[in-house]
Amino acid sequence: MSSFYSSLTWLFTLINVVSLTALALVLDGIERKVRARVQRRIGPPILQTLYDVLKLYKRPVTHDELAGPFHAVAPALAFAASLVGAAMLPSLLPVSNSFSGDLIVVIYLISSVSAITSFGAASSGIPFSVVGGWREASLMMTSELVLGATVAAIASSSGSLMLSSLMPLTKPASIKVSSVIALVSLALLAYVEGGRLPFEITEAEPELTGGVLSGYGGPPLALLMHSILLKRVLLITLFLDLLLPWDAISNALGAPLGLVVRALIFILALLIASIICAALEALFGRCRPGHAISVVKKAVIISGVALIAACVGF
Amino acid sequence: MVNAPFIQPKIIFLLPIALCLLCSITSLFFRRGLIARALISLLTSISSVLMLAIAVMCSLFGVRVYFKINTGLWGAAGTVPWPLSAITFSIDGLSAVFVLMLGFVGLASSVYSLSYLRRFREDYDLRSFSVNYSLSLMLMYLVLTVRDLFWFLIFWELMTLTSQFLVSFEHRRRAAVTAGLKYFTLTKVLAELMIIGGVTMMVLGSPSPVTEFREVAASLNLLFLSNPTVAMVAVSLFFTGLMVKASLTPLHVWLPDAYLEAPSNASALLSGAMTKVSVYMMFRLFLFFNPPNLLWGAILSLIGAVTLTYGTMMALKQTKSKSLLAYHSVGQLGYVVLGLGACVTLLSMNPPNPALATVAALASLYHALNHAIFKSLLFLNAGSVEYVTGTKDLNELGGLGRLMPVTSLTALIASFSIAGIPPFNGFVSKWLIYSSTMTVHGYLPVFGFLALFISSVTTASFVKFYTSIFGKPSRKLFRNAREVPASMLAGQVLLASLCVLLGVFPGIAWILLKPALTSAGLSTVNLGVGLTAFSIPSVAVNYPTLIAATLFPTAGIIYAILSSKEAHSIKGWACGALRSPQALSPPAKSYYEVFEEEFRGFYRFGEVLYDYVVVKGSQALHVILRGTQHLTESPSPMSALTAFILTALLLLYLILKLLGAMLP
Repeated sequence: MSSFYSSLTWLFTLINVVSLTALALVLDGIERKVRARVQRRIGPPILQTLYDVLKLYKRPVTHDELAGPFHAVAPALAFAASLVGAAMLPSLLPVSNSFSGDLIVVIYLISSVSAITSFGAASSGIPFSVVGGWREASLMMTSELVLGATVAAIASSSGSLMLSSLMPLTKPASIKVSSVIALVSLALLAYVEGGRLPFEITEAEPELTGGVLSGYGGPPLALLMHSILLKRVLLITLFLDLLLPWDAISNALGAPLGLVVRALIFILALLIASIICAALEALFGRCRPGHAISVVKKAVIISGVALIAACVGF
Repeated sequence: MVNAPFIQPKIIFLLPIALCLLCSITSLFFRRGLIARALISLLTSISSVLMLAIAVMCSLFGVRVYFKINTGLWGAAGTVPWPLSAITFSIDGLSAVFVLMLGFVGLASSVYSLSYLRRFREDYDLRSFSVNYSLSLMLMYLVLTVRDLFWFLIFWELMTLTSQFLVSFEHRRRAAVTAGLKYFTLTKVLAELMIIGGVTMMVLGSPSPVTEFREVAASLNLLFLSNPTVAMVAVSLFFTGLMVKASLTPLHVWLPDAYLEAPSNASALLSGAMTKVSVYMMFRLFLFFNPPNLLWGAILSLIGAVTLTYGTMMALKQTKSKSLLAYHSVGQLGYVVLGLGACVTLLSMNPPNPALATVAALASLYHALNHAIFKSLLFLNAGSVEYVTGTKDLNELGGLGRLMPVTSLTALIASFSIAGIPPFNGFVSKWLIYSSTMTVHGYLPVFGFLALFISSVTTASFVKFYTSIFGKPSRKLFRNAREVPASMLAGQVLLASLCVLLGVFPGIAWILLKPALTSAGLSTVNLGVGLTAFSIPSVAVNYPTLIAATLFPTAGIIYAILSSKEAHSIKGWACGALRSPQALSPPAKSYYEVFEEEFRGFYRFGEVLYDYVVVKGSQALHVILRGTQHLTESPSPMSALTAFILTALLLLYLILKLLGAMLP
């Protein structure tokens, strides 16, 4: 089985990256629809986000003369970082045994999307974009306060940071209190870091006219939007990877069939998670930045409990 | 052991010293002008290159440097065993690593000096800079290579002395003089503790006093057996002296002022190399001298974690370019010490975990190397900006990215490196720190958590540093801003390429650092390291080269496609506001106001701590000093006589002790 995987590593990785990239757009369309339905609106068609992005790709690029040089580079780099993140993370298909990912590496790649966005937005000549960049960085710091404790709890309780030995954290034989609490905290983070309401303070359409996005137009705008959406999907993927026994699913049914079933279940899980997030999002309005930071900061209590439990061996 | 066939390592070893001395003597004849600048830049650059050569020879080719120089002081060599008659020098794996850092930083900032020193052509006499810069470089080299604790202490004190003149070089500014004094007073006062600790180690452990490192280690071990309390006190005192030089919280207070006021090339040397000299001695102290001890593991890790948290959180608030960098020096040193603390903890816990201890030591050394490179680069960047605009104030700066493209690019690389964005060099060393601290039980994961959180604070504060200088437009226009001269660019480009190289190919760092680990007796067999990947079996795995090989081409291709598309320009946009975007450009101080407000509890706690430790501590010192002042200024005959007798007795005792030690 393992030799079968390693011979197909590159193909599997490619399939994962391409499908997550496409799913990011479709899932956002579905989320928009769900949000609309919860709020008793009709909402846009499911493929609306895809249409938006495709349309933007056809538009000319806008250059901001007052912006620093990194402003123009940021969308390409952020998108590339999210693609590399997608390649490192097992999702629809496993990433080969000889190439097991590392939790820290994956998390750094995902959060470098935020960092690059923030560097780019704060380099802009547009004050709204600059403010959006600061907010992105502030939210990143606060959520990494929670993330740091969560990752430390997971690593300490499992004695490893390799995804192959962490997946899933809910192995019946070795399930620990700290892992379960860490999973809860990871779910919260996937929601917060995804920039969803009420924590969507970096784009803040009515207030900052798009915030981090406001300095971009045409294809760069599409790329940056796409990388932010892909980041959302990656966060959920990471959570799902640690929650469910994916390799057991694919191994149970043998090579070709097991993989197909695994991919289908994965897409289903992603869909369910997205719908839950969207339904939650429909209930909230946007927080003030300080309020958002304060709320996220308090989540460190949950991950802190997980960390302390892990440190003493529970 | 391979010996270099043509050139004696001893000659290569002594050449940098000779060149620095030559530089300090010849530069006495040139007050200002091109010759003065060229002299210092050229000689110290060559000296640094030779340091690099010797470091590479020792770590890569196993050349062994070990020799004694007879000083001729105090009788003929061989008859007087202790301690002035001979100096022993040696470069082992550990020394080689730190000499390497010194070489890189020295080379970059020396090349950079050629044009940078033009800043002072009107106002200052360059002689005081040249002499002290070259002597500081030389003394750091001597401190790193001397194998004799007595001479180590002497070189250490001289290094403090010469470097404080660098801090207060711009002596017409009161702030610079005050910063220099603060630096000198604090490091000097606490170095006295170090001397007491050092002398205790040399004298008390073995029957006759010893100074050679290996003998001191044996002596300290004996002292631990015979009198553990005294041994512990000696190690603590020695460590306190190292701590203040490495600017670990709460003894970091001199550093932000000193680096802010020193000329930027000196700040680069001080921050990049001098703090590492102290880290070098910590490695010696805790991995060579002192047997691994759980208490010291805990103390070091705790100090590391507190330092990295406090330093970086304070850095986030700064609005002057160089004080932001200075506080980050404090913070990053915290990472280095946390790595060392984790190593000591893992070696001494029950059961010991030697494999992860090696990883922790590697993390610490790797981060020290990386910090030497990216922090000196950042100081050079800040210096270039100050050279062009005349200001360090982030609130005023802005929009320089297009005017200074090379400086801007190198600053971006340095910012990404210190922020740990993959695949730049800071990422790999931070990953090693997390891997070694988080994957165990006990207190280490808590510190690993702080390290991960603080890494994002570092990222955010470099968003501020980079974008408020090179990104968003400024309110003030710097129309005359141009790219800096070639020699300044050369120094920056050298360091920036090292940031990329050491990040993308961790194997290079591994080759350079491995001898240091083996010389400390750490086993390196359990680590899987190739040129392109790092793996800690069943714990963690990292492929920086693969990340770079996918990330950069992908981004490049996407950017090329974007650039080929039709484009039109806009000139900012302020949602229809009538004022220009420049006028609306928000200042650096408001970047993280909201975040700072939400974490005010932390900052308040920091202030209280500062108040108690630093303010109250110096008040206590003040009382003692007042006492001595009273004694010296208005002495009563009785008190003067008492002081005289006491001093005489002390001296007599010391002389007798020394004579007793020297007689066979």
